[in-house]
Amino acid sequence: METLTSLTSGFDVALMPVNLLYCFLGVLLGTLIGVLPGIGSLAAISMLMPVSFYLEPATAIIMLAGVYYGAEYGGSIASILLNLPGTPSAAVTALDGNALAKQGRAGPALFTAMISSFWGGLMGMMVMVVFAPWLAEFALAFGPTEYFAIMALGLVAAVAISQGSLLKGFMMVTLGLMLGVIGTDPNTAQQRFTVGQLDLADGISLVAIAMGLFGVSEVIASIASARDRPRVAPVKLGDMLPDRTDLREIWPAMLRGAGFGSFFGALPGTGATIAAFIAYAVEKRVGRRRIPFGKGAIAGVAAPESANNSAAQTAFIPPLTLGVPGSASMAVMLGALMIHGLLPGPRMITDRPDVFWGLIASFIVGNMMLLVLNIPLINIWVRLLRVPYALLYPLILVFIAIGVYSIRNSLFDVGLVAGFGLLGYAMRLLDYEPAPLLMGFVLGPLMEENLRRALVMSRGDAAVFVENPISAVILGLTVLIVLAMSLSRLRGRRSTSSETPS
Amino acid sequence: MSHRIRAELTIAFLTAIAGAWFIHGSIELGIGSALRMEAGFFPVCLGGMMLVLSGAVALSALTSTKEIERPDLRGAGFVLAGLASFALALERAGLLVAVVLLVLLSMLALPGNRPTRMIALATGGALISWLIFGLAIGIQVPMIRSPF
Repeated sequence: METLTSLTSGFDVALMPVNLLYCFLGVLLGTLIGVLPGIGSLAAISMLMPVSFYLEPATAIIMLAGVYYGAEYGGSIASILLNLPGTPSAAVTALDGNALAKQGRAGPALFTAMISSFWGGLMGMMVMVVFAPWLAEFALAFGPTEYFAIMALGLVAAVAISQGSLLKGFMMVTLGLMLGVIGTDPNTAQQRFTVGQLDLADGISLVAIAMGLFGVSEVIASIASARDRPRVAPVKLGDMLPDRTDLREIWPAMLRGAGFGSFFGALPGTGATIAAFIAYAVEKRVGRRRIPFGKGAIAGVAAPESANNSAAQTAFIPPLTLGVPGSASMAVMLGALMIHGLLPGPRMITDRPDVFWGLIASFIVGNMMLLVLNIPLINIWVRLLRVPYALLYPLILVFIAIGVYSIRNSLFDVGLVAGFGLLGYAMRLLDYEPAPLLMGFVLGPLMEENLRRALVMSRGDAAVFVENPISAVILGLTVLIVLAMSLSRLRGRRSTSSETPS
Repeated sequence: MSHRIRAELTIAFLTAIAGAWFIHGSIELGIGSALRMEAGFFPVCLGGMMLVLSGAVALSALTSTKEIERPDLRGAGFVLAGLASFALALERAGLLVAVVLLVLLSMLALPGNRPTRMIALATGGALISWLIFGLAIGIQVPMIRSPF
């Protein structure tokens, strides 16, 4: 009953004209940016974060959230039409989505993606309404010891999902933690590793790192293939509806996908991409299909699309209730919340119910906007995909440069974006993943603060992390994940070397 | 020694230097104790971790057989030059000039871009920047400024 009352007051916030407007803008811009291949939700949020600084906190977060799940939806359009996922979580949609497009069934594929995304978003929102308050109440019992342990788990999980070597993943986390230390120490006011630069006294800008690592480096990497993008045929609105047989396959795939998405989205270190892949893999094994998976099975679009949008909603649970981001995108969202003076964590529901419940209510509004917007706009997105990348990337760089400058009016930040862009590009070439670095950067200062408090409370005894039962369980889980990852990679290497002919 | 191994060892060396710098800097800041952490306590732990990880990555790189993708030096060079020109021109000549320079230089990253197309896009980019950032959002930077 209390939850229902809170949700109703959340709708009062979400339906305010200014919040409706910015939700619409967020969803529209997120979809537009998500449609563009290679620019995912993270780059989209980073590029639009400076715009949010001029807004009230609730409005800002509603807009950025709209950008996030709008981009997740937009990623599927390029995935289906071009076989070029706009976001990583849309990569699996390309398997059957693009096959359907090649068979002249792009319309039903796009419609299925839309409906499945809407359903997934609704399911994710319902999970948030039920579980988030309960989790926040549970987390109120957490102290600095437990928080430190959860953050360590979050960082290890970020390494677990990265593609490359474990050592490189841990190195990136450590580099991120080191970058997070740069600036003024909050306890002693000493300058740490600022090399005499006044611009670094407040630390490195989160937006500069995110835009450099994910925006500029992506542009540099994509320029070489800019001329090779395939052409896209127009889509007729009338041809978009799936037939009855399609619908019989879509519904169960959508339901199952949303279930997986809701679960995996809420776990730190997983998120929309893993949720989409697992939903697809499970759906492939379940039931018989008219057309096998990989050859244009409509359920192969419904399951991952439902999963990734559901995960996009429940991904907000860890940062809002625990103050710990589950993914790089949520790390940037967490940064945005803190820049607006909000303290994410279990107290947020009680201290700022307008932001918390307003955000949840805006998910329903935003997902409905996505559905209503994208049916008539589908040909505009198709036309956007026909604009040569050679014309788009300079404008993307303009947005990045102005966006990062406008945060602190600092030319130093523009230089940082360029530097991190070069670093990000070098990292790509050598298979270093940028997401663990970003997670380390955002969590570093929080980890240090919680470590300090935990050790003060235990009078300097580090054994507190294993004597505290919750912390011990979380750290134990962290160690298990590291061992499991190491064994899995070792087995992978052994089977590769045994397959290599002598 | 392959290009890949050389590149990997270079990165490992640079990160080891960063780790050693952090340790050195932390000692100067003061480390304190577990009960009374000073400004250098957390950084010295990170510096130590980075040294160990750099060593491990260097050892693992020696057995790497993967080839490194050829870097797009032209693309990287012109994109970075564009961003640098934006930074240099912004407060001296205003946003519109900075945007034009950024667009023109970054378009040179892709060989074969025609001058007419470059000028058209640079003009369009400046116009869009003025509309969105100047009029709609109202960021505090002059659109045009005399460099003299």
